[in-house]
Amino acid sequence: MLLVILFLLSIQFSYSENHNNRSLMHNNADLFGWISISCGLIANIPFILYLRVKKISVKKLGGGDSLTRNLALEHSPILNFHIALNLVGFFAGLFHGILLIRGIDFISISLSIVITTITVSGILLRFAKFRVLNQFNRMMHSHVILSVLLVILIILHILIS
Amino acid sequence: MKFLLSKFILLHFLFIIVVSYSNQCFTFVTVFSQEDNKKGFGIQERERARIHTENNSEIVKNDFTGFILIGTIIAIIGVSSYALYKIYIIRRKSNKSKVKK
Repeated sequence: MLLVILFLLSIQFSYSENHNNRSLMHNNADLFGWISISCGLIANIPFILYLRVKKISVKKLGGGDSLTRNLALEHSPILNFHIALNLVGFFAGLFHGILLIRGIDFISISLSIVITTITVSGILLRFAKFRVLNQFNRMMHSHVILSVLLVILIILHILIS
Repeated sequence: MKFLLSKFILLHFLFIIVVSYSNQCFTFVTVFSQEDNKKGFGIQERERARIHTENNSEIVKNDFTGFILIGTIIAIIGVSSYALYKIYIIRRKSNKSKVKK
């Protein structure tokens, strides 16, 4: 995992270094965008895979199996990793947006709305104590429509800008 | 150990962001402390923003991105309404089962 992160970061740095003719400010702003996307990919794909595997193992093997129990024990560190990296990605995206505020378009606005909604629901899901609020945030945070919309908007944002 | 690894990765990313951002602030200070005719960054950024706006205006003309924004807002309102409706259904069911007992 660490090697994958370092590899992605090295790609980003080489990307920024290859564009020396552009201003430093612009390189860094672009870099924030790529950091945000990398964080999102690294934080979410393994987490979704882990949840799927855990669900399948509970269904097929049952709750008493050692594999299922081991997977359940890993939940807390994986969740912390997911939250931490996604927060880093969110703030990197925020800086990217602030630095390139003059080039704002409808897709960027839509993307920022979706990312903020998912992040806020995730933070509330982790820290809120009320049951109803937790149910609401769980549905919002894990809804397939918002996830698909987020992926489509990121692809459009990359293609257009 | 695994939690420590995630902490390390978090710190690593935070370090990169802090370094990049401080670099950014330094560039700002350097650029804006220069005389007007030397503000290359300002001219370059204005030019880039102009090109970006031109490109975007072509896209906006197609009403494509406007629909995306409207679709996004509708999707978020729809998902939150659906979530509230589901919670209402769950609560109503649990209340009914409590009354039966």
